[in-house]
Amino acid sequence: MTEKLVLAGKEFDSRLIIGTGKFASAQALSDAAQASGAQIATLAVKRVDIKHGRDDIVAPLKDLGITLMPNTSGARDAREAVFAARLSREALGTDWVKVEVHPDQKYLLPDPVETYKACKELAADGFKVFAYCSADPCLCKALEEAGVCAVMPLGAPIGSARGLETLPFLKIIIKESKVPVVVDAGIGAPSDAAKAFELGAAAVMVNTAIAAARDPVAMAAAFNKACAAGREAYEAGLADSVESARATSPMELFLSEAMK
Amino acid sequence: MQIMFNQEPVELTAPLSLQDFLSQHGIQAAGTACAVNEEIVPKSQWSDFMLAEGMKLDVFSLVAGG
Amino acid sequence: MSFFDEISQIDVDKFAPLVESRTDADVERALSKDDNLDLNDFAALISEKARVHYLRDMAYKSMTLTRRRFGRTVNMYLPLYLTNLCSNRCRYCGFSTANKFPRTVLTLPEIEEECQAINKMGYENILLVSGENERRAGMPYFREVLPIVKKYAAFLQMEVQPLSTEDYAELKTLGLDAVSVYQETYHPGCYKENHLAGKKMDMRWRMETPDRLGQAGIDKVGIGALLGLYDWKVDVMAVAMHVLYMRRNYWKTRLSVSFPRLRPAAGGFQPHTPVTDSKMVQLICAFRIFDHELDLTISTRESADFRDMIIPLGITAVSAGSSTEPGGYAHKGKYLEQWTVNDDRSVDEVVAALHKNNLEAVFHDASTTYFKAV
Repeated sequence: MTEKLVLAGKEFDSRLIIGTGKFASAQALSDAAQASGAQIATLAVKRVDIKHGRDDIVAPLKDLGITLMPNTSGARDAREAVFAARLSREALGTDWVKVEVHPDQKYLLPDPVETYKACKELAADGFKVFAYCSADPCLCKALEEAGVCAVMPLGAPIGSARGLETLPFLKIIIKESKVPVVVDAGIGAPSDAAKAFELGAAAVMVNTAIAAARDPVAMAAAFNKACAAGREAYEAGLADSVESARATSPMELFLSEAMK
Repeated sequence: MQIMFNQEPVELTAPLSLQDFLSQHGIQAAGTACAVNEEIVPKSQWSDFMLAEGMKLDVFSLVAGG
Repeated sequence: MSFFDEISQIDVDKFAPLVESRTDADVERALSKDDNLDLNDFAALISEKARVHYLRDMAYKSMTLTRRRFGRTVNMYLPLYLTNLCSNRCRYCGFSTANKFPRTVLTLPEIEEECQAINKMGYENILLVSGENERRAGMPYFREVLPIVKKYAAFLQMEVQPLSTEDYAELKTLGLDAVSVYQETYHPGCYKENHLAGKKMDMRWRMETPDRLGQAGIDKVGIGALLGLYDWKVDVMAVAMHVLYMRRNYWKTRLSVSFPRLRPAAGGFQPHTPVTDSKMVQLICAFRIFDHELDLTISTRESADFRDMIIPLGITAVSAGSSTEPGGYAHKGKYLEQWTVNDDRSVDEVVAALHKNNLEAVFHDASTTYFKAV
């Protein structure tokens, strides 16, 4: 049994967060979510479409016992992100929000300034903020100080499936962060997810890699296993990881003395 | 009277509460949030909130996406 | 060109200012390299700057490298003193001819008895130690001793007087696996001052021993300097240079580095530049980072507490329950010890201490029994 994930004071067994976009149908999403074992899913806030109607996904996800994390996708600046967050709080009665601000429509890369502003305001307003951002260690520290519950640095641009392109920076962020680090965006294969856990990530978020797979349900199950494997390996203590976490206090004392 | 509903003009034959408007359009309260003139109207006030001429009503719900 | 020829071309005293002049940047550069560290890097790793600013980083890196290369095991070996008879006069040693005390050379039955006692302790890795005396403990003696000891030792090591290449080749057929020969000091002046009589006065002969061992095809060679005899900066750098030389010239030979620190002995010799505990820690870590494959050993010269702290950092072989007097296992206290054992815990106590540090004591080196010479 690996350690539980704790986000915003809530405990979870699964460390895989699933994104709900790009699925063929609500049923397809629901099936994949179940196979993934995910206990957290992100959703967007959009104007209702009376003419065409959209399958409700809120109820099926809730039936699976999944905690909903609304996001602010579509927001192009802090003001829109804050607005979207308040809408979703009103709509769902949850104060969880994933802040994502990407004015850039081509690569969907997050705007650091607007993200920071939105996170700061929302955190002050009592939201449990999960900040989607670029893998910038300084930015992540600033977001942490602004009061976010977790940082979500990207592995690679959304939907690119290029894996952990930002690996060197993720390592730094994970090492320096006092809040959980959720690697989000760009994860293309289960091995990418496993790698993120081996580095010490608290959780990963996957959307496109599952939704766009030939068989999303099977892929979701594969990700489920990869996340578990990666985290188990991390907790077992990889042979080439620095043993600092396992050092005994007598050793620490001894070395401190020896350095005087 | 005319209001804007999700950025499209809509004719209302008589004054209407926000709650009634939503019911008429088959919009459930669960998972839904409303803003009038870009200000959020809390769910608790929907029954009392009367729509008026020229108001811009935006109704949002939680959907798949991210 | 032997190693003696190579090192004779330089002024080893220059190693000291080299070490002293290393900066934080030099240390960081050394620590950032995965491999192919050179002598300049090593100098940085043993510098004071490294100790004060980077020792913790070095310790963790050393621990990680050791676990990765060697796993969580520590090899157990035991010294068996064949003689305390020595024809050298070394100023720092209890066995010096200048010291008057009863001398002995163990007889074959006495050796057999010692081996039985050693096996009872659980050991199969035996290090034969003798004073240096060609007449009474030379090749004829060794020719008789090795076959007896080999019955009891899966791994057989020797720390005796330097022998010729042919002698080593012959001993190899009798089951010799490894030889240790510590240069004591690589500084010619200091070497001359401290070795006043006997064949050990010949610095070249001694220093070329690892060369001859490599040429004879002996599996493992142990080198080291007597820390504190001269300025340790000079000697430790020379050992590192010797490591590089052996790796370059005898790639099939396994290498071991030991860290004998001057301790009290009959004669009351005082160290020239004492090596502090924290420096010892640093040296061990430095060697591990410098060369990942080295066997690093410490003996019971060091105290129990100190050994427990440093073993997890990078040590791969230790002795325990040791005696430094001939016949000390079957009949303790009859003869003079070469040096005072500081960690006098029993084998079981040391094994338990290793377990506490999540390390396993290995008495049987599985890899060598496959190719037993006898």
